[in-house]
Amino acid sequence: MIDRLEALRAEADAAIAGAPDEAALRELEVGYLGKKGAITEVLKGMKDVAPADRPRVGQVVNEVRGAVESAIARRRESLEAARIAALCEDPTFDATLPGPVPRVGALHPVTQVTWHVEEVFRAMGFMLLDYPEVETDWYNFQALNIPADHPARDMQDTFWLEGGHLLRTHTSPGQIRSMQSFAPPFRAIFPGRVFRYERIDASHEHTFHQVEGLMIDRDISVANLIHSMKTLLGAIFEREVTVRLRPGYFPFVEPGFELDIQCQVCGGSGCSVCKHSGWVELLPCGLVHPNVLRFGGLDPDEWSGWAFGLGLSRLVMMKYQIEDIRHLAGGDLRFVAQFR
Amino acid sequence: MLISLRWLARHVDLDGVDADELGRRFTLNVAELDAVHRVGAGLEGLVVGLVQRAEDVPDTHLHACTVDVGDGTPRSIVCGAPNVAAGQRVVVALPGAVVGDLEIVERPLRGVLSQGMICSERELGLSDAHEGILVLDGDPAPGTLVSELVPLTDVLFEIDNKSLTHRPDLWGHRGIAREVSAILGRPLRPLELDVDFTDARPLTLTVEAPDACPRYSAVTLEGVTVAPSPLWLRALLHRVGTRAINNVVDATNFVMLDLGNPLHAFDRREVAGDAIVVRFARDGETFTTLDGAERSLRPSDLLIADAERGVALAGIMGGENSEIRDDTLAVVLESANFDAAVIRRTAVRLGLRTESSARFEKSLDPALVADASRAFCRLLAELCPGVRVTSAFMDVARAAAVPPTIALRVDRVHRRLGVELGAARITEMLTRLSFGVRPAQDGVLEVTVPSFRATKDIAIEADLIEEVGRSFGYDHIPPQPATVILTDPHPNHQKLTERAARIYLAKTAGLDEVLSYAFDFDPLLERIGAVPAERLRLVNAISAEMPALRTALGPGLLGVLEKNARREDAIGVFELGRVFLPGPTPDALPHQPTTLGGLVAEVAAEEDPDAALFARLSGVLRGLAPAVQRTPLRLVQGGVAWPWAHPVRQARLMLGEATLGYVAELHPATQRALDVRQRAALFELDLDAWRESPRAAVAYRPLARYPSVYRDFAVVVAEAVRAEAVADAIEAAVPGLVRDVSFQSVFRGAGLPGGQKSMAFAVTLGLDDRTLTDADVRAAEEAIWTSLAERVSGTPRA
Ligand SMILES: [Zn+2]
Repeated sequence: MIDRLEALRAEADAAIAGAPDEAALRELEVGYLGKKGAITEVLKGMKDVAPADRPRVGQVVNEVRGAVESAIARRRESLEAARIAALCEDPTFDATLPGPVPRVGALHPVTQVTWHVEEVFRAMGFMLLDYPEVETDWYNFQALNIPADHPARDMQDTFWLEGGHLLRTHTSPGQIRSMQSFAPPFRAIFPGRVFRYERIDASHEHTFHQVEGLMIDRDISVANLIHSMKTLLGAIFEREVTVRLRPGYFPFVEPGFELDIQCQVCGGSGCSVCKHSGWVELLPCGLVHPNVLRFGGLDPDEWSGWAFGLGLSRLVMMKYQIEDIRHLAGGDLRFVAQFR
Repeated sequence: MLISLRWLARHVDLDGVDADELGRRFTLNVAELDAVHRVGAGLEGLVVGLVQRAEDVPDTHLHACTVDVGDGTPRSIVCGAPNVAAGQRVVVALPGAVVGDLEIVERPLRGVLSQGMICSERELGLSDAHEGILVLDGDPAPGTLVSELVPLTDVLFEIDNKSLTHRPDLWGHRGIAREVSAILGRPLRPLELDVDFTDARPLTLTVEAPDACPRYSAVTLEGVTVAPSPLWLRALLHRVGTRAINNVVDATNFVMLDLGNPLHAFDRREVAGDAIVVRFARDGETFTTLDGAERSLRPSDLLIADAERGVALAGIMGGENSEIRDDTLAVVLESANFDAAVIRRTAVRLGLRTESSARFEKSLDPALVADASRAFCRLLAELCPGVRVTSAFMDVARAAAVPPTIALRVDRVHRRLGVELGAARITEMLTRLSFGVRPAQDGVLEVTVPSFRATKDIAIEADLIEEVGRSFGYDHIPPQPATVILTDPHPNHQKLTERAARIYLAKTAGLDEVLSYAFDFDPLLERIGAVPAERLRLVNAISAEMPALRTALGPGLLGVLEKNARREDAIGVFELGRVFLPGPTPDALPHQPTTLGGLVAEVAAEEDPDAALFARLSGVLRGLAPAVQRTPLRLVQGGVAWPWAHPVRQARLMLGEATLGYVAELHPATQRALDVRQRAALFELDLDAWRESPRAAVAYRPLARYPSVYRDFAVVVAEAVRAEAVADAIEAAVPGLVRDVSFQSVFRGAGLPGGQKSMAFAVTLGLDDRTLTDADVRAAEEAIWTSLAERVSGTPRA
């Protein structure tokens, strides 16, 4: 019997070592150690062994059984290692083979730049407001200190609607509307689309986007205005900007300014972008005119403020160096798709 | 407007002043210069030449001339001018000179050596005359530098008229010189205005409309010989862009460009009845202005008339009937002041904007009237030595306005500018700009406004603060952060909704954002038969193709489809913007809701039983609801009237009983009209209205503690049965047991009778308080089948 066991052991060792895969190994496991397995069968013959020999035979049986079990475990371990090693090899792998791309749409560059500007102002506690595009003469002109027959109306060629309303020529009506809606002090921006009766070409559009900013408080000064503009423009351009104010006439501010920034292309030494002046006109601004405060329902002896109007379409053109403003509303998807 | 520095130098000493630096300071202190032009560079070396001989070059129009240029070596010069002749004193450019773009070199012309060029007025930048060479008056010695006789070089400041809109005092060289004098700290030369008027009053002046004409003056002058002006005057006028006409007209223009007050000279013979009447035109009165156009006037137009008829359109243009002619011997000079709004209204209405109207529109100083009249009398006498003034200074004026005074609080100046200047410095700066300043009470200055700043420019304290600020120089004010009070948060839900919608549509739904004009584009609307009956029309449309405001986003999106259809097979775009709907009353602002629209298009079979494009958009809209945190919109088939909507494959987007928009496939006829390959589907919805509905807050439910059971139902129903009805039938069968019903697919054809379809739904069942037993599930399945049979006549698919 012991001979049988030893023979089985040798046979099993050879078979296990040669098992090519897990399935074959599992078959051997059942074949030797299962309920009807060869070693189990041998054990059934124990009853025929002389009682005196039983302990010795029993010990051999256990040895053989243990040896086969551990041979199977070792073989299993080595088969797993080989399988994993095989999985870790792939001579055909090509990392540059393009995968399917989910379709990601583009946000219009005007939207993207507007959001950036909004972020900057929101971070500084400005409200974000929105006002109508079709306006009354009163909000667009009269309440902004531009009465009928005022020559400044020439500066803003206006689209008139039948019935007397107009397409707002600037975002400035929001100054009056916000003063009427919010108790001072407050600060707000109102971005939006504005319209000028103007022939279009590569640098002129009858439809463009602006953002107006307004800050109302008890003692707002030109020094505050300069600081605010410098800070905000620095955040918008994401770099330090040098600004200068020069007199500019807008009936709704007094004093009124044109704000220039030092040319971002040449750094102020002069180039074709800045017409060799070193400065680029960026935005009109000023202290809110006392009459405008009055039209907005505020007492100019108590309240003061600054306001500015920044051309968002222009900012988009500058940021991406777009050569033709007509692309913005041109509907050509080769343009829009670049802004994904 | 062009400002000549040579002209300015008549008013303020500019010796040693760098023109570019002056220009820079003018930009920072007064108004932006658009450009600084240098004229006549290269002409400095031109000399006077005496033509000794001029002979025709055979078979050409040229002349071979011998010219003495004063150095003892006469030059041979070939000249093409018809008027060249021996004995003339002319301007000679010798080799090395640069005339315009032409560098002068010695070279043969038609076989004759030419050692220079004889110049025309145009070549010298003195006028547009180029038919012949300039022949100098008098007898300057050959070799004399021409620049000693005529100012050939100059620097011009170009200023955009729009940046002087608010400054009536800057519409002449004198006013600019006043600012320059303040910048440089050099005095302004006094004007010489002495004129010997007589006591005679040969005309009666009647101002019937004193509000429209606060001041009207006239002077008569006799002994006039109408002739071309001398070169210096023609040159100055030319340089600043005014055409020389004759000495009388040139003198009026010169004074206007110098002092800023327009003048008008009438031929004395044409002033009938020795009377001038300033009155409004009669309705329908016609008048021919000196540009030859007959104008039909209205009672709002101010007219200068004699005893019989109009002779000038006040402040805008003279009349053809009374203009200065070659044989004019006596003139009536009008110097007047007109109301800005009256002049502007007429000029705008007639489309007749002149140098004169541009100035009067700005509200000129009435005090200028007398100065301008006197300056004209002196100038004309200089140009035309026989001229005599033969009248008094006849002047009808309302009482001169008292110079306004404004109390200026020194502390207010400091607070508004954000810089401490002190009363003394403020006083000095204002005084330089011709303001009268005296201390009133503690910390307050009483400032008297000069008449030329008082017409509208300077009226309140803030205006004076601006004067101080610009004099000080804004670049000298150090930036200073504002101290603010913490204010309440005001999140803008409308903008947040718009932002969420945009991000979802671009980044999740994969659509590209486009912008379209707010205007209807009629050629497209006509092509697809969609010109709206009611819309907001423009009075002054940019073109007849865009006559009104859009009432929908759809056409703009179709325009994008049309524009890109050839290049792209598949298109997916959206736009967020306002549409414009007439208001309830004409006075009310129109309803202008922010609207969201989208379009998907692809090249697809015309037969598309699954309406895949429609389904794509309805899916996009279902996903949009959670993105903007609003209740999902219900799709209700039918009722969409837009002409571009497919008559059947369409649905209204409903929120409760309100229709917020639509989703529809493109009408096949519209596709044909657009001539595009793609099938398309569109949606539009009123985002404002949706946003105003209650927010669909997330209703959290504890995670299910007992497992779900999943069952698929393939139910055969008639074609007319809608997916929504099937889902409702499932849900209603076992209330409280159904966790989710989700549509899988629809199948038609093999094995199904005609007019029937099979729809597959995945149903999730579960209970909150215990695990479902097999019996529970079987009961639920039976209930669902019963409900399907009862509600939609559905049967299990075999
Ligand atoms: Zn530059």
